Amino acid sequence: MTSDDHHSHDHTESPVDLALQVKALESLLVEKGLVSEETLDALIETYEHKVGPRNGAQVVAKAWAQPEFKEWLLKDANAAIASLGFTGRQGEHMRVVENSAKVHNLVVCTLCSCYPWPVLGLPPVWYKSAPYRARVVRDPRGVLVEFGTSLDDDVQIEIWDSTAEMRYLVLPERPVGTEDWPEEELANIVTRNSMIGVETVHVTEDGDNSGAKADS
Amino acid sequence: MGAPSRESVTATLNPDPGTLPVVPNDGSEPVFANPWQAQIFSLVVGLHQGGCFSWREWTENLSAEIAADQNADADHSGEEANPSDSYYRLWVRALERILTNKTILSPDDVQRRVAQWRKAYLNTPHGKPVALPSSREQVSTLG
Repeated sequence: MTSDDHHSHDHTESPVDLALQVKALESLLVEKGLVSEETLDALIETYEHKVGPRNGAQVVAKAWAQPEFKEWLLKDANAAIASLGFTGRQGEHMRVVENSAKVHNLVVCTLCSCYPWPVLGLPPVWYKSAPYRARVVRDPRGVLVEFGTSLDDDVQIEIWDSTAEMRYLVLPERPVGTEDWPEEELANIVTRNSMIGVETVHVTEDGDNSGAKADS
Repeated sequence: MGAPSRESVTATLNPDPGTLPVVPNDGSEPVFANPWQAQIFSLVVGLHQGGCFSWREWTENLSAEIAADQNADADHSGEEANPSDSYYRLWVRALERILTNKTILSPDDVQRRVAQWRKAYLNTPHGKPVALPSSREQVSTLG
């Protein structure tokens, strides 16, 4: 900001311009009573620690384990997901799209970064990137290969463009060999990327999926 | 699939096929890369929840900023070290656009306050909480 930054530590270092701008906006809006510090703190706490792809993994595992829940989920995703305590904050509608041997679903927001926060948390950087948003529509198979996912030529790819009003969650195919698994174990193998549709769900030899372990 | 208008916007994008970011490892990417990202995020969601604007209004303004950014000079994007900074920078612009349109805050109001905060930071001895002269508010979250 000033030459002081380079040769003196007598003063508090000025934060980057964007941080100052956000601080200015926040203090002005709080003073106007349009939002409170408590609300802001609670929102950050919620999105940093309480919502994330583990919520969506529970939804998928329940759908795999309980056919009646799956039927409800595909018919009325908002109600089925809300029954597990995950509710939307932006008034959006949820729709769950099911993968099969014939159809693979892939979710994008071509215009910005609409994403089902209550079940997946906030979107990863690549989901918000211009190349993903544009290329998924033009070359979905090429994008999938970059994520390590190759589909048979006869599998049809359906692309779902999220909006402010409609968010999508992919119900991945249940891997073979997991027929007698309890729901909690099933949830452990469901990755965030599989619920966006860029990956499929696999079972590794130790019965776990490396991607799922690090997911919070 | 989206309505035709969305597809036509997509067609104007000019991505370099070679630049799809590497898939980040699950869990290695923090929700917010630095405090101001969390602050602008919570500010937007908090204002929406308080009834200041609808979520549709928000996504329309954010989409407009994203489109404008992509149409700008190619060397402009990616100037930040962190790709999530470029994304949340557009949140800041979109929020300012909404607040200006609704005559809640003018760009001048914001710039005046920015100057006050900058001065407060420079005048505060290292290690002491930063506060505006007119405000009792203390700031400890800027990093």
